[in-house]
Amino acid sequence: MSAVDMRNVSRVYPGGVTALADATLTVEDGELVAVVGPSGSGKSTLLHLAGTLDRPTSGTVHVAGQDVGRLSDRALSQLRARSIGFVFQQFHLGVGVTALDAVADGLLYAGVPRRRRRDAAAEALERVGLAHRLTHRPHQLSGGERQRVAVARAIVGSPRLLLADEPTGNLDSSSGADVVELLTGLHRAGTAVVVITHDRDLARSFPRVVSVRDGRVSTTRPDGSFAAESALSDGEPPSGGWVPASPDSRPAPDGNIPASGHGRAAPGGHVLAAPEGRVPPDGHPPSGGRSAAEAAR
Amino acid sequence: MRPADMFRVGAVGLRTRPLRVFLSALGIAIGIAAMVAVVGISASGRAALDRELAAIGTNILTAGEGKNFGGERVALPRDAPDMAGRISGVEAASAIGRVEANVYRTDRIPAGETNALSVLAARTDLLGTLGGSVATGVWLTDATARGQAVVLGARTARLLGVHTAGPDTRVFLGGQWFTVAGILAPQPLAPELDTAALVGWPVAEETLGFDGHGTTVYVRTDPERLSQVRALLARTVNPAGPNEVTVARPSDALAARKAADRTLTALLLGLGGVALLVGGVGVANTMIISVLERRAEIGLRRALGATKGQVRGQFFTESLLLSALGGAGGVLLGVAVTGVYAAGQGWPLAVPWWAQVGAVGATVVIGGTAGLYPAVRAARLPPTEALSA
Ligand SMILES: Nc1ncnc2c1ncn2[C@@H]1O[C@H](COP(=O)(O)OP(=O)(O)OP(=O)(O)O)[C@@H](O)[C@H]1O
Ligand SMILES: [Mg+2]
Repeated sequence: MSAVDMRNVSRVYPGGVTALADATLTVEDGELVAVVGPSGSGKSTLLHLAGTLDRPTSGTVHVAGQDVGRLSDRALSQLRARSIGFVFQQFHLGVGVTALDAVADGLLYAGVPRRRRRDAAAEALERVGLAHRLTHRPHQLSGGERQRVAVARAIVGSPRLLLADEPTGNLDSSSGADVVELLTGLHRAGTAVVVITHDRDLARSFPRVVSVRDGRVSTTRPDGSFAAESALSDGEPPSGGWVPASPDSRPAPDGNIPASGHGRAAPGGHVLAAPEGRVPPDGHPPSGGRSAAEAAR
Repeated sequence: MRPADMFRVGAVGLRTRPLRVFLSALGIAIGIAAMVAVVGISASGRAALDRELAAIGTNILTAGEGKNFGGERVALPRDAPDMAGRISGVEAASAIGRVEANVYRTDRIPAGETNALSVLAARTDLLGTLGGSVATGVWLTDATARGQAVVLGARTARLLGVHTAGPDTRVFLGGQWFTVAGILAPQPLAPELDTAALVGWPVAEETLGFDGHGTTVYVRTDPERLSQVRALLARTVNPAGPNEVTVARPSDALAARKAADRTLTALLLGLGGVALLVGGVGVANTMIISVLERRAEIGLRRALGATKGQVRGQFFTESLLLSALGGAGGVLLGVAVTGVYAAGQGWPLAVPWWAQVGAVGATVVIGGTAGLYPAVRAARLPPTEALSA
């Protein structure tokens, strides 16, 4: 069963900005997905729609089997409270609120009694390696620790789907690696995890990479067994050997996906998706495959 | 969401911004304190009066000589006090009579410096009828009432500079030396005694030219039968001219005097109300700033699964708590101010329950009104917009 199923989804912001155009994307239960793309391409918009924080202008979004468009605010909130966890680039921890209370708030709206919330919060903090920081407040925590508190808050309710918008964006590489390790661990435990990242090395280590460009979505898997969702509608032939979009992307060690240890990965094959129509099916990097936006970075 | 959780979530916003909470709660507290203190002080004053009236009794009636159509004074009959004493329901009756004489500290004081003090002939049962007492010395007895003895009213003694009673203390009264037998305590029900020098009825008739006609008859009644006695009193003390008798209940005058400052109370209450209104505007302002500042928190809570209603409830609760905090502080402050003032006046402390309940009710209304718009605004904020703040 799919955790998220988006079909022909568009999101046009007031003022006429098309942040997402006719995007189709399915995330299966327990899948680990990286979302990449240049700044302003619509990644956050995609994540918000998948997390029911926003409603599409057109198209349908199903989360945990429920049609988001048909749900009331109350039902949507329940869905978020019980089935979806979010991690943001800004940690969003309240000033003066202890780690334990912050994490316990992750269960507040699911109707869990306070005692159980706090017990579960302590457990979740232990899972992220912060058992010794329960009563610390944000200003007493390092950036990496803060993000781990935010991750604990997102997973305290054991959601079916975890959405992370640049969770390592504000962290140094070692703290970032800790957080990524947590997320991939969750995926191993059966949670569907979607991570937006600008870190190409990190994305390359994921079993599936969704690429967003100018509001259009394409996807790939290392073994090429699945076609890009939007590529189908664009008439792109589904074939193996998708390649990095950037010439400077290095292939990862053969057949090893250390971060996830996911069985579906095939030798030689975890790569970034390319914008539709630009990548030759033979798997060689195109010389001009970098977009202006990416090059500018 | 459980009410306890809603309370906790509402309180978090307050706990993490203590100074701002203190200041905006202070605005409410000042308004509430002002109103509670105004109500409390006037209630304490009334309680003091009630206590005073209960001590001196409200069952005293007076029948005084009145005036006829021509404006001439109509004296009461000589037997008026005895007649009044026979009315059923009267427990005691007595009288005073005006004596045309003046009292001085010594015989060297010029005759004009009377200090507006009067000389009155008093029956020996006067003090018992009034339930009054002497501050020092003794009251007139049948024996001293025939002699050159005088009892001074409280103010008279002060104005004459007499502080002790006894055989050595004398005043010059109607051209003769009178020994001061006693000094009265203030008589709230018969304030005319406070500015008088009281001599015995016989000595006044014999040596001071008193005609023996009482000018005011005092009766103490059975409290249950006061109105019947009142109806009969004028007719009984002066059957020939009941319309020329002035009947009064001194405790009424006392109560009326205290009630006179009710307008002032209303004015002060109005000022307190204005302060409260200003405090309410402060709370609304704080809440609006709070919502603006905490957009990210709102977005996060929506992402954690808060419904619009729960976000609305959170800020509404916060506003209620904020003003309730101010209200509680205000009631405490108001009671404290009342306590200090009442202690200074020697009054009992009385803050009516309705003022305290009303204060709490007012803060709930204010907090609700002030928090409504910010709460609705917080709830309307789209989650994605809130998160991007
Ligand atoms: N509320 C909004 N109103 C109007 N336009 C918006 C709004 N939010 C986003 N956009 C526009 O939609 C486009 C996609 O935005 P989005 O935030 O999804 O990009 P992104 O891929 O997450 O970028 P980044 O990597 O910089 O976070 C951008 O062009 C942005 O300017
Ligand atoms: Mg973004």
